[in-house]
Amino acid sequence: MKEEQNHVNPIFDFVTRWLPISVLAIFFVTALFADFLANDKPIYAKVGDNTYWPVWESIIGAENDMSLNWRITDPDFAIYPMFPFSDHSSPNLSIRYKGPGTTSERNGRQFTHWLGTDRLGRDVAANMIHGCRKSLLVGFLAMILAAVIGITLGIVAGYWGDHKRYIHPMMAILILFLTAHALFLLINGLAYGLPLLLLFLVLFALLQFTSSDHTGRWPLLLDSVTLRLIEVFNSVPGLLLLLVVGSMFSRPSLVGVAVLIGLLRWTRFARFCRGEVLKAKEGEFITAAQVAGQSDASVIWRYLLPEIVGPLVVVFVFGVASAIILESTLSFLGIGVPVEQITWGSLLGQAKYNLNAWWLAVFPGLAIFLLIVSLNYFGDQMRRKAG
Amino acid sequence: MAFYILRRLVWILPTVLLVLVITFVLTRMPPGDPIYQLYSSQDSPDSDLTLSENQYNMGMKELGLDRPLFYVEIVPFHHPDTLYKIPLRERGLVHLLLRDYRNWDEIESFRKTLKRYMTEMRSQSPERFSTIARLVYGKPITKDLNLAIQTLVTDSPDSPILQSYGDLQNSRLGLIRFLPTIKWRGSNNQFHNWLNNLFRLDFGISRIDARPVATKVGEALSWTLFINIISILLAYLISIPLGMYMGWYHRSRWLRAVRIFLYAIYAVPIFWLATLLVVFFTTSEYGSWTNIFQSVGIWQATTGDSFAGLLAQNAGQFVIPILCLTLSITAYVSRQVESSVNEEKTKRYILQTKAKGLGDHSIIWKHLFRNSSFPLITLISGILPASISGSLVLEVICNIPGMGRLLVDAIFGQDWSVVILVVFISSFLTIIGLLLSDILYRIADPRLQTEV
Repeated sequence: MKEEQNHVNPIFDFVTRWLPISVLAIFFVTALFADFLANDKPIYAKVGDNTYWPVWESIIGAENDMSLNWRITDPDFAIYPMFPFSDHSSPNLSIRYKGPGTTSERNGRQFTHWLGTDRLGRDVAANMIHGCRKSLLVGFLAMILAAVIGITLGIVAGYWGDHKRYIHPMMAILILFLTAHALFLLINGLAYGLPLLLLFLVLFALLQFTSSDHTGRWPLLLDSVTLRLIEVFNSVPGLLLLLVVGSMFSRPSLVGVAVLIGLLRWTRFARFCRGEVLKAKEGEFITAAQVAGQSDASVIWRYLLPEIVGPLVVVFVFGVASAIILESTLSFLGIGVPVEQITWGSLLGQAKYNLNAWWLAVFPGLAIFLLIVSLNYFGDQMRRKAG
Repeated sequence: MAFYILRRLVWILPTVLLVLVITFVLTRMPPGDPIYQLYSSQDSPDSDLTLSENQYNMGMKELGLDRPLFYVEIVPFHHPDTLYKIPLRERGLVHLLLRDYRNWDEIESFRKTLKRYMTEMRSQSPERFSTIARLVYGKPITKDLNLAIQTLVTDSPDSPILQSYGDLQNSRLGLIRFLPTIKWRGSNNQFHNWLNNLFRLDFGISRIDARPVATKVGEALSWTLFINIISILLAYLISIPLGMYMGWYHRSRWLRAVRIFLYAIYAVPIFWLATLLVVFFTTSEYGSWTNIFQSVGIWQATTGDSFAGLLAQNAGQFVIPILCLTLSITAYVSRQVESSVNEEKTKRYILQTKAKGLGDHSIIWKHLFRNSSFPLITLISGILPASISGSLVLEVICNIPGMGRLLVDAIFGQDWSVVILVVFISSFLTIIGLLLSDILYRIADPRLQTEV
C-alpha cells in the first residue's frame, strides 16, 4: 500500500486537492464582491476638485438626489471595475449579439464586452458575475430550508420511531381538527391561516401533549408518517411540480423559487438523517446519556446532532449543487423566475434564439458546470474524510 | 410473492390518494379568474369586471365552481352556510368583510346596497362604476378595506352606502372567528365531481386549440415514453459493463480517463449539453464538418400522421435528446455500479473464486455481477423522475412534441387543464416505476423472499 502512495504524482495530487476548493473560493469571492467586479459606476472618480467612490456609495445606500448620474457624467479621472457594466443596465438594442471582445462606447470612452452581449445588448460577463451571486443565494437558501425541515423530521422519525410516544385520543383529534381548519383558511386565501397552521404545527412538534405512557392512548406513528411523506414527495417529479407551481406565482421571485426547491428537496435530508440517527442511537454514549437522566431534547441536541452533523454537511453540499441546477433549468425555460432577473440559466436560454451567438451557449453553461463539478468534488472529498 | 405484491399495492393507495389531492389543489390554484378565462382567450386585467352577473353565474355552473370544495369542510364559526354559492369574483370582498365585521346579515345587506348602487352607476358614470366594481370584485385600489370604502363614501356622499356602512360598523361581532365548525357537504362537491371526471377519463378541452386534453396528452406521452425507454435501456446496457470493469480494473489508465469523463458528465447540466450540441453541431456555421445532427424539430403537419410514421420520418431528430439523456443516466448508473463492485470485490467469496483460479471474466460475470446488480434495480426509483424531468427539458430544446414541450406551451398559454394532466400522468408513471422496481428487487434477490 505504502509503495503505491509514493507513486502519486505530486502535481496531480496538488491539483486534485486544491483546484476544486480554489474554484469554489473564486465563486464565493465573485458572489461577495460582484458590485466591485461588474458595475457601470466607477470605483473611484475625480470630477473637478471632488473625489467620489460611487460603487461604495451605492452599496451602503449613501446615494441621494445630489449624486452624479454616472451613466452620463464623464469624470476627469476614474478607475472602473474590471467589467464596467451592471446587471441592471438598460437594454441597448444597437449592440445586441456582439461577440466577445467587441467594444461599445459610453461617455466618449470605449468599454470592452469581454464575453459579448446578449440579445438585448446587455453585457454577458457582468451578468454572469451577478448571476453567480443569485445562483449561490438560491442554492444555499433552498438547502437551509430543506435541511431544517428534513433534519427535524428525520430526527423525530429516527429517534422516537413508531411506538415511543403516545397521545391522548381527544388531544390527537383536537390537533388534527385545528390543523385542518387552518388549512381550510389557507386554501381560501384567508391570511391568518398560515400563522395559525404554523402555531398548531409547532405545538404538535413540541410534543407537549404526548407522553411515553401508552395506557388508553394512541401511538404517534412518527416514523411511518415521515416515510410515507418522503414517498409521496419522491413520486412527483420535482422539476415538473416546480415548473407548475412556479408558473402559478402571481409575482415570481428568486426567493420564491428557492423556497419551493427547499420544500421539495427536504426528503434526502430526512431519509439520510433518519438512517444516521438509527445507527447512532445504538451507541453506548446515547444510552449512557439517557440513563443519566438527560431529557430527550438534550440527548438529541448535545449528543446525537454532533454525531451526525459531518455526513449531513456532505448531503448539504450535494443538495446545493442540485438546487442550483434546478434553478438554472427553471430560468433556462423562463418559468417561475422573473424576466428582469438575469441568471446563468436565462443567459444560456437565449442561445436557442440565435445559433450564431456561441458565447451565450458556452460561457454561462461553463460557469454552471464549474460550480457544480467543484461542489460535487468538494462533497466527495468530505465524504471520504467523514467515512 | 403474490402476498407481497398485494400488500405493496395496498400500501400504494394512500400515496395515490395524496397525489390526487395535491393535483386537485393545483387545479384550484392557477392565477386569474377561471370564468373569465372560459369566455375569453386573451387576458386583460380589468375586462372581467364588465362580465354581467348572469353570464358569470352561468360560467360558475358550467365549471362546477358553484359547489362546495370537499365532502367535509371545517370553517370558521361566523362563515355562512352557502359561501360557496357566492360568485368567485365577489369572494375577495366577502372574505375581507367577514374578517373585519363577522356579522353575516349586515354584510349581506351592505353588499346588496353596494351592488344596487353599482348597477345604477353603470349607465350614469362609468368612472364611478369602475371604482365600485373594483371594490365589489375584490380588486380595491388600496389593501386597506376601510380606506377604500371611506374614499367611495366621500366620492358620493349622497349614496345609500354611507348609511349601510354605518350599520355594518355598529354591528361588528366579537372575536369568534377562530372558532371552527365542521360542515358536512355531501357528495355534490367539486372534489367528487373532479374525481368523477377523472375516472370517466374526461379531462376537458384545451384552451389553446379546443382539442380534447386527453388526446393531446396521449399523443405527447408516446414521444416522451419512447425517448425515456430507449435512453434508460441504452444507459443500462452501457453502464453495467463499464461500471463492472471500472470497479474491477481499478488502476487501468483507460478506465481512469473514462471515470474522469463520466465524473464531468455527471456535473454537466443536461440542458447545457443539449444546447451546445444544437448550437455547434446542427449548422455549418462553425466549419464544414459541424453539421452533423439534424434539428429542426418535429411538427405534426397533419393530424392524420401516425406515431410510427412520424417516427420513421424523423429518426434523425432523436439523436441529440437520446444521446444527452443516455449520457447523463450512464454517468450516474456506472458510478453506482462501480462503488457497488468496489464493495463486493473485497468479500471472501471473490477471494475464493480467485483461489480456484477462475479468470477475470468468469469472476466478474458469474459471481460479482449478480451480487452487485441489486442496487441497479432500486436505482430505477431515482432515475425515473430524473429521466422524465430531463426529457422534458430536452424536448423543449430539440422541439419534440412530447410532454415537455406540451407542458411549457400550456404554461405559457395558461392552458391549466393540460398542465394538470401532465403532472398527474408523470406522477402516476413514477409511482408505477417505483412499484415495479420494488417487486423486481424481490424477484432478483431470493434472500428477501423468505422474510415477509
